[in-house]
Amino acid sequence: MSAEATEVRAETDNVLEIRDARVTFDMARGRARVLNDISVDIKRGETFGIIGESGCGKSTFGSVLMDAVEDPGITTGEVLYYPEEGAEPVDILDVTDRQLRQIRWEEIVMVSQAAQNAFNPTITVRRHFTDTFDAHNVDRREGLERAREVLEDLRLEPERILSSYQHELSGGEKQRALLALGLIFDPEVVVLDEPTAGLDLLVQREILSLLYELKEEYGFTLLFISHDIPMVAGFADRLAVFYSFNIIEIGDIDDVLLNPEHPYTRLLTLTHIDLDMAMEDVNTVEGETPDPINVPSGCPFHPRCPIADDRCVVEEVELRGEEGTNHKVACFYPDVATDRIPIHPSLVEGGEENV
Amino acid sequence: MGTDEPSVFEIKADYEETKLQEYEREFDRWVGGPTKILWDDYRGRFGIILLTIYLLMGTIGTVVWPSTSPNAAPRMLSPFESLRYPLGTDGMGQDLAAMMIHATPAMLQMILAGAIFANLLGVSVGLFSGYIGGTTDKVIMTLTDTTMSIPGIPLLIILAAILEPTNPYLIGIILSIQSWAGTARVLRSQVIPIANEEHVEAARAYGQPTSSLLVKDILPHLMPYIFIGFLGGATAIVFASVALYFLGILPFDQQNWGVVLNMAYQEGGAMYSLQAAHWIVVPLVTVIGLTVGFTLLAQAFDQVFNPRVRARHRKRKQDSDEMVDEDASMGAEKAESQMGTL
Amino acid sequence: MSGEDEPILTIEDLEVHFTEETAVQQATPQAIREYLGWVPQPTKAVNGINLEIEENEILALIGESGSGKTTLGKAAIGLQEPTKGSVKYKGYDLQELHKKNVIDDMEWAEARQGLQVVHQDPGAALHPYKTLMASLQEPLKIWYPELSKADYRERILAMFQECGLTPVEEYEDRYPHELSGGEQQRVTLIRAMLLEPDLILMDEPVSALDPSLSIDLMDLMLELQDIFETSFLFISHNLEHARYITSQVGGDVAVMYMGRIVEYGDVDEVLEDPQHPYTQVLKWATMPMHPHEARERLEADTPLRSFESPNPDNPPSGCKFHPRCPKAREICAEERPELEEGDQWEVACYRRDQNHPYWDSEWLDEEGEMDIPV
Repeated sequence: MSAEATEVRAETDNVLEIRDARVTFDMARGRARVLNDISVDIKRGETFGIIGESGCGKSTFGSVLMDAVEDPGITTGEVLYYPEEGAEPVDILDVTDRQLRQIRWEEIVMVSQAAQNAFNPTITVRRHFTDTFDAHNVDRREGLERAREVLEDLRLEPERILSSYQHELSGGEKQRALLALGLIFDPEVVVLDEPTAGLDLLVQREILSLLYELKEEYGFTLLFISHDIPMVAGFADRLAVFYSFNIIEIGDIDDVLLNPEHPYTRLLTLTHIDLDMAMEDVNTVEGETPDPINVPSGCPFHPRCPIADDRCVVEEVELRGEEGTNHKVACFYPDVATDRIPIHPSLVEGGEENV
Repeated sequence: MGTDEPSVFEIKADYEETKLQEYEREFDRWVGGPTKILWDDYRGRFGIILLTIYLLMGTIGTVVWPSTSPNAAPRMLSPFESLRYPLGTDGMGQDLAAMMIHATPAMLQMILAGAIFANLLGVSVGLFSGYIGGTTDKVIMTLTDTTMSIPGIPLLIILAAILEPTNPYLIGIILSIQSWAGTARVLRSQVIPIANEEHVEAARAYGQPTSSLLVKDILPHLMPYIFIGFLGGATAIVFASVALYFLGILPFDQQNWGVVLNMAYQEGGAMYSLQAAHWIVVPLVTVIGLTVGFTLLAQAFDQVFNPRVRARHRKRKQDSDEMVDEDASMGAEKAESQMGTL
Repeated sequence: MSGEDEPILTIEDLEVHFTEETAVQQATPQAIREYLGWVPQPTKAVNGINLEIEENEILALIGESGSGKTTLGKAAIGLQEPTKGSVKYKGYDLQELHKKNVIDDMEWAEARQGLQVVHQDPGAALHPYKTLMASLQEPLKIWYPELSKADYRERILAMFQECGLTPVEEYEDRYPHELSGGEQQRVTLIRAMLLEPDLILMDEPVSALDPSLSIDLMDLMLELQDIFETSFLFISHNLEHARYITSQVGGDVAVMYMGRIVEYGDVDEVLEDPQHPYTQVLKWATMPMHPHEARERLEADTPLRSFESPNPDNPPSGCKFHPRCPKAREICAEERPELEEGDQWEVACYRRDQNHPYWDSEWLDEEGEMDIPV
């Protein structure tokens, strides 16, 4: 699907509208807020990339979309799901258990990074599939037919995989089998949380290619969560950057990566070690990631930000951007950031020359 | 290393931790801390209380409470009727309370001997076999399995008949002649995954000799199993001894709860008459009380070995220590200021 | 052999085989087993490695799972017994040294102290039931028994300080689960360094960490390397890490595939212009960050001839990479190319030699020659 076509549809067709999604839970030492009133729209058919470091809330965000936040987390807010263009939305956080069971897997599916442990070691892969069919009132034989198709799309031998136990499969095969299980009902939305974590390089690459193909073929909306920018760079139409349980920058992928405006995003690009860059250009973000119980005042990035001033310490900052553009950033001084903070050399126009 | 400034490896401490501080720290680590953790858990608390009662029964109780014999008291007194015989008396005029109390030391001795024997043997065999692996492991496990497959009760009956043991320590050991095998098996299968863990490999890399490895690196993981096994074994010995005395297999010259049960059942018809019911209920409750105490304690011990719980305990201790220090320093300041004005 | 000028590690024709056998098979006498045909094929995890690591040197070992890199690493520091070949510490065979305890001037103890390890998963590499202080004291107690507990404590606290675990008093009584992954990994690094080893095996030490934390940790390793001149055997499946860890003192890279080294040379040179198709494919698989470049890469065809991962129990004939190699020809399936120096550096591929009959051989299948877009 070309970029322009996506943009035209963007005006009209959201598959998910999230409003003020918040997740809190109480710990012995205080109340932790691990998702901070996130509001965002996801357009039907797009690939929406989500970037952030460990513990920034991106995985929690993924879980919220299926109302799958684990106890004792408490989720508030709205997650409106539009099954079709023009259809009446359903608030996923507010449906009955029965509706939720139907929505999960048939409409929205999440494959998380704990995939390696998602399979029950005592039953075959085939059982996993048939159990899922039974739970959703699907005829087993039809279901398995479909399963074989999907497995083949994922370049797996259907019979061998179906009759295997999870320990008989390699890491890459397990991950693809899990993906097949997720795609079995042709869902509208697929959420992938670090799908390539822990896998070998060539296997990672292979899965990425497969996902790209599958998205074209099946046409679902994809949310791709990762801590590794290159994973989403070629894939995503739009990118959201998470920091301290907020989205601090969001926009079309070209805007966010080639012209990032938030100091954190800019610094984050420098943590990628490229095979061609000079090693001195590699940098890290100084300081520590925020503690969910003790989030800094004002802009949560201010303790680590090279351009923060008094206003940043005191005042909270919302996502803001120019009229008519998709690119929004939660910073008072995006221009200063662009001036003073370098980004990764490979992202700079003109190749690898330094800014 | 060839650098001019003293390397970080040549640092020596410039203070000495006082012996008292060291003992304090070790005491808290091994005794104080665990006890507090156990006490905080409701199961641990109950378990400790129950077991303390039995311990007292077995020690002070035997000294303080007069023992009994046939016709020493009126027969078939109901419990709570008289202050002198709070648990009532049996059909032969013996004080039930006295019988319970005076049977306790022997029971405790049996448990001590049996559980320690079974566990020492089982743990050592299991640890060694699991770590060493290979053919040795297979041979040892075959022996262990053979021991386990010998029918338990017939074995005990035969041993009891041949040896006619009266020494409670000996009885304890006989009763656990088999249970070490189960422990060895379980521990061995636990050792294998642990022995492959990275921190054990790291310990091999920094030269930890095998014996220390087993004790310092592998054993701590197994402590929950060992303790629970120990306490479970204690329970098993209680039941086994009671059963064997009840069946009349172990010689009759002991005061034992099982003996009382036997008499109540056979002679007193306690199963059929409400009046005599207390004769059977009292020893039953005594047996159950002890086993419940052990079981609760075993469950609570899981907390002791849980590092998250130890961490919380440490934090709380630090906070209260700080408060004590603050009080102390405030007092010192006060004293200084007073001195200043003088 | 005084051991002074010898490299820290000399690995010669190293092979490590693993055999799956049931108890019954093991217990049966050899003669009967041969009669019954119960001779299982061993899996050759490491299949003929020759390496040397000098003092103050960094060797990056690149490979995917199944390449044998971890097994090689463990054999190198004496945690895995070789099936064939030898591992020598400063000229002394490690296995012999372990058995005899002393050979000439060299004691097993010195070798043991000199070779340490940092694992991938720090959570599993630290004893969960011991406080950090207790865990770190263990190696000191073994090697410096003459020092007092207070001495140990001071050294450990100094290392905490050096490695950024501050305020140090807060860390000593903590349990591993109370630390973040990055902090845990620092502790394992400290434990390895406490003994002032000659060489540290680092088995994917940063693969479990975020990019920013990986760089922090590698920076710390480089700092410590600078101060103590320790050698590193750095295992990774990630080319970028290999590049970074060798960026300070330079270093070599060995690329492993199915138990053998397929390319060996200076890191910068190899990564800039890899000679072996496998290394080229690894470079192709490393995704760029620029969205347009990344998209181009994603849309291009894969250079791998087949999607099937190699099966170590049933390895391919000839060159082990040939079923997937974009440049494979028939000759590659017949005979395995040795690791030899071509025009550039050591490569285990016939393409190194312009005059080799390889160039006249037919392509392996209908795909013909496949491109490696890099």
